[in-house]
Amino acid sequence: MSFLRFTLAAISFSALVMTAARIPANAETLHVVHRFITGYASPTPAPFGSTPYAELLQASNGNFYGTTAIGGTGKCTGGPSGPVQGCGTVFRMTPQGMVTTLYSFPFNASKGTAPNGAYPKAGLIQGKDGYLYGVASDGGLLGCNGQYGCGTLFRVSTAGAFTILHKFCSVYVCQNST
Amino acid sequence: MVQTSNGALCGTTSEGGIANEGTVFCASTSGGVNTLYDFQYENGTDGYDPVAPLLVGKDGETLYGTTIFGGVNGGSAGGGIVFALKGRTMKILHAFDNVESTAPGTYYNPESALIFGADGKLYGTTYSSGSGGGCIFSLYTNGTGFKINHDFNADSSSNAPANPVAGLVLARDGMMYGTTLFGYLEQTYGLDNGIAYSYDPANNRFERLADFKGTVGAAPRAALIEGTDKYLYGTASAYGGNNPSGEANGGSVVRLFNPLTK
Repeated sequence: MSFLRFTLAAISFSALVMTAARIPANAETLHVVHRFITGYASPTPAPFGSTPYAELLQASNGNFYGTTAIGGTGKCTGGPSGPVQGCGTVFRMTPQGMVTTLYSFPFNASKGTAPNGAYPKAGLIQGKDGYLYGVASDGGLLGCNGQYGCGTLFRVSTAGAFTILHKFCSVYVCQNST
Repeated sequence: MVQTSNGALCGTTSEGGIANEGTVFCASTSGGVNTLYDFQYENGTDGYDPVAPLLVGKDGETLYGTTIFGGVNGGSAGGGIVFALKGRTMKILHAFDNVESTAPGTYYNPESALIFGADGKLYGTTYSSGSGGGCIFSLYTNGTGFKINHDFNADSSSNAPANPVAGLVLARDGMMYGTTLFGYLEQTYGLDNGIAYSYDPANNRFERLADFKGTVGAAPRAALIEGTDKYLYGTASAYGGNNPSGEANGGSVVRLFNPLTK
């Protein structure tokens, strides 16, 4: 049901974008290009990203890329007994406003870990090599104040191929969570 | 993160390092990470807890950044610093005021990345201040010329824009644009939603541009960017649905008018 609503919303906002060129000058108004589903929406988890904390990046191919702090298919929970809220995502938005989830940070249910990172709150950058680079604030190796770990450094191609580059570790011993 | 002229990916961690007070690191694109600097406020002048992205200097090498806390004005209760890191050499460019200060004219807790103005100065924001709302500040890269460009408590109305988590963007029209976390009260959502503003550095003019109404999105935390179409794009971290109890309230991507046609 939520997927259906999401799709309809995306279509209607796509139409809105098509008319954007006719917005008069001096229209000091914020226009919604895309609405994210609430991370703890039913049915949980929302398969889409939710709660973007970071600035967008417009890559050299013209598409926008960003992160959402929660949402996605990874079943991270809001605290030990909290609801499923998702581990966060990397998304792509076309100039027309169509959003695609490129990567959902996965959750290892048997170990209760987010080995590739979780809750990305920073934006992406595009390297000189064309890849997108980012950090996740949580997940990876256990041992910091994060719910699931110390955070990670990752690379994602503009088509969504994900590579983990580094798992951060505090001065204390970090446990391998993979 | 940012990429320096030699291709390194550099950023900050808010924890970890020698004192577990945060670091500046650079990584290769294959993932090897080097810690360039460990923050330790115990040395009397240092900051700690950096949360903002870095800025690469015009030399392609020097990293400019901020920490939320620390500095010479109170150690652990210090209000943060602006720093320049070249190689492993740290230079503190400015120390913000003690976070316990309630005096007007005191400013602390920068949470956002710095940008370069057309005048070559570094521009940034602090989240808070003695009178509560934070500021826009600027200084030269050698630490001189520190100036409060805008005090977010200048407007004492109940909908006063306040508390920028986000930094600024310098658009092609010469104006800077940003958002505040608070500043638009909306009873429907029971939220203080935030606004978008412009700051004209040439004329020292601050202007409220648009309110984050709940149906558009609330609580913007990220800097705006200027798209190739010259519109400004940003994110709202919450709400954005057509009604406050609907499911499409997980934040939004928003677009603002074209600054060049304003």
